[in-house]
Amino acid sequence: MSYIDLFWVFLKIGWLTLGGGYVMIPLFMEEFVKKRKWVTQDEFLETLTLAQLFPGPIALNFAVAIGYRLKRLKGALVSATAVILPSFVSILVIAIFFLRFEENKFVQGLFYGLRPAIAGLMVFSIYEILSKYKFTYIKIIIAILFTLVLILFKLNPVYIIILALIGSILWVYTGH
Amino acid sequence: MGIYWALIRVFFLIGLFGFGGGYAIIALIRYFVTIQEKWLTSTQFIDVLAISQITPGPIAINSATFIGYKMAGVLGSAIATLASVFAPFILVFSSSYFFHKLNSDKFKRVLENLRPMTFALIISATYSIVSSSLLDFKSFIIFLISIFLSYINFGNIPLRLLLMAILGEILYFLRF
Repeated sequence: MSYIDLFWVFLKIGWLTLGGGYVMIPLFMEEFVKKRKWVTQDEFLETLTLAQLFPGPIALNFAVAIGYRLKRLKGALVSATAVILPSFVSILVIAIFFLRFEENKFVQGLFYGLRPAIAGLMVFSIYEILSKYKFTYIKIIIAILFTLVLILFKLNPVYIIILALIGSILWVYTGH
Repeated sequence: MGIYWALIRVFFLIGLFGFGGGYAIIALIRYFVTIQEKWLTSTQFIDVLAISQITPGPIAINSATFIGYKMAGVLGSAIATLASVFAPFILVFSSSYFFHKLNSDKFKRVLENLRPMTFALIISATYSIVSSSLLDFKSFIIFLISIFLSYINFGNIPLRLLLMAILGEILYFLRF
């Protein structure tokens, strides 16, 4: 397998995945395990787990982890670049046009529809999370407290994230 | 020079604290770019989210590219994009390098415990986006249709957004 192959596969998947996120996992599996046989199923899942453990977009983390596994530092750099490139180019082109025509009536019309649509998607994602995960009482209380702090005090979410991380690490590493 | 450092600082932190995947990161980006730095208005921020959902790539990277361009041109765009992927890259890379057998079990439990926090981030982001995008009766209708299309799992997200953009265009010019 050459760097060009590696670059090409991540570029292809990068272009295909509108909106990002977990939709690209089956595509990665198809390419890496079934079609090209660069990694076994087990290695794939192990790499995926590693990618999920860290902050950052899952596609990027996965590209870095699999790139490293296949070709070390250069592999990680090549696959990370390839996975970022489609989003970088498309957003750059859109930004150039959007910022020039932002005030245009036609553009405003499109976004007049898109803004409440985004709000709808987010409300639905809350419904999905609630129906998918069974939160314990203590977790519901923590979620409500954090929500109130974020909304009422306009606190920087970084503080909430650090607090939750410390709390969680202490909880797990003290044997709970 | 100052704007480049500000972009680097902000998008490095967004990359570093982007836990939880998907919509959880929106609260973080929103805080930095609309409240702390005031690079975008609330409405412009929703527009960036909308653009990000109909183009390839994760929200964190897309917003870095877009805002980088808006604030400091193509160079700013490239710098912000690199800053947004720097922390995840280093974390995933070094864990691949140093840990051949990561104790992913404990790691996973730590992440599992973060769920109430990421849920709170999503709710707070949804609250602010709903309150700045539902401005009149027509946008409320679009909002409801968007939720309904998600509920019946119609097409995929980019397709739903495209339909809502067309509907928005029609309603925007229609007076009632």
